[in-house]
Amino acid sequence: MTARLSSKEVYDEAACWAAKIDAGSLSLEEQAVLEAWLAADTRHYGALAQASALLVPTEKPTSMRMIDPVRPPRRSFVLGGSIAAGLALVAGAATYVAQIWGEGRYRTRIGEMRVIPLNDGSVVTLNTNSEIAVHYSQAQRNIELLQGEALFDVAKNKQRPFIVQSGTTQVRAVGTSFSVKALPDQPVQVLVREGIVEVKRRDVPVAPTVMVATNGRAIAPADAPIVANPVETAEVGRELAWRVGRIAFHGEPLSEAAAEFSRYSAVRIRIDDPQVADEKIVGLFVSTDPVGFANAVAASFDLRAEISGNQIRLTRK
Amino acid sequence: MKLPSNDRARWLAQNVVPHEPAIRSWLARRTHDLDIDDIVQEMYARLASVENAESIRNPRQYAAQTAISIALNLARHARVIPMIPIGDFEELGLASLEPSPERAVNSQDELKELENTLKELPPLCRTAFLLRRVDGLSQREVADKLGISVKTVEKYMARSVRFLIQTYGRGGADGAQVSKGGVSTVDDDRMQLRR
Repeated sequence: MTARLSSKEVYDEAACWAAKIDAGSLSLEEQAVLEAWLAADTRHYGALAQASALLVPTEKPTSMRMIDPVRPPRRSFVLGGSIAAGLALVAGAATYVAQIWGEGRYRTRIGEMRVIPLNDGSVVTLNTNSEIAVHYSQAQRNIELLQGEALFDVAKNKQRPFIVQSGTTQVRAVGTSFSVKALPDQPVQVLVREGIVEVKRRDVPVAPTVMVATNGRAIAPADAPIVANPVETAEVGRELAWRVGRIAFHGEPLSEAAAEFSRYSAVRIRIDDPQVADEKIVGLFVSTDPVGFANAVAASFDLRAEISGNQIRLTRK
Repeated sequence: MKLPSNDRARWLAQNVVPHEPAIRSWLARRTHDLDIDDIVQEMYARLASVENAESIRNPRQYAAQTAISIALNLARHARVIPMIPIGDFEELGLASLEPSPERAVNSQDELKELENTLKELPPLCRTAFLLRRVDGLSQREVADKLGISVKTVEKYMARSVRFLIQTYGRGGADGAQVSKGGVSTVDDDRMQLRR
């Protein structure tokens, strides 16, 4: 194993390889050296891709061609290379791809948020204390939401539906953007930001499939039919404020707001007075800052916020 | 799987290269102790091997998200705990600033900018590169046209590419050339990463 090159050195070598490949004059020996170089470090592969992109002739507007999104042409990168050398390079790349894009489980801890680009071009954003399992096959893109909440920005592929399962609820999409929420003791909620999804119950095959379109919400209780309702665009934005580390309230009672904050940290906000608990909250708050939230609430409702350990008590003055 | 094909290189050129300065600049302002070049190289590695890149609806956003995920991973392995605010990443306008591929590569401005960027290179080197990149001549045709050896043309290509990478890298350090407006830093919005 050779020593790790600095990123500058990687660029130096990548630029030379890109120019050599672009000249179409790689000898068999050079191909072998290139193969070894690429296998040594994923940064080499990335820098070569970057350098090659800078050598692509600029296209004229008239020659913009149709792109088939399902089957991109698989022309060899190495022009004029022998088939054997080409195969060896392809094998090296396969190992690399498996490392980065295997099937897998992804989870977030309390207060954490994670953006996960998947290998088909889709992106999953995981909210606090959430977990998904990804099972991609040729025919289907299956994702299991094991707990918590996730937003799915799905890359279009009609041949390969994108299916999210959470308990007995199944959401099927082709290319769209939607979130699924599965919190303890609550029905599964599906919120569609863009496009159309189909929601159905896996345990009741005869139950009808419910179509949910942009700005629609489906609620799937364990023991009752799925209900879908339209929601306002602003509401969708508020519901998905967690993607930018925020929680948005628009008239929810303080008790609900306090419960929402408990998803994002170990801190618990206690309100004993039922009248106080019923105060309506409006505003945008940082989800991992319950103390800031409690202080803001205390100031606007003239309450006292007492902090002890992981607990904040809100009481009348 | 596959190595970056010519089509993928073209896709990267049209959809990722124009956004690289903005992504670098964004990373530079929000990570400490991480080598931005490392992150960018890994980002290109992933984008070069992603399936069906053509179906990615917002390449700028996708590239940025990929870079962020790499930075987060590096941070975990490096045992440094940088502050990476995920919060302002929408406010950055990653979703809305997406230029179309046509605008990114076909405008006259783009060509002027490229020529302007390359003006620090020796004229013959610059001319050779532009003949290849803009006029689409092969390296052999460039050599014939300029009356120089094929080997020299190859050297010029390497030199020009290295120079462009360097320039885009600098663009990241002292303010992005591509990102215009909409960049805001919200300090209280920082999310602390935990190991």
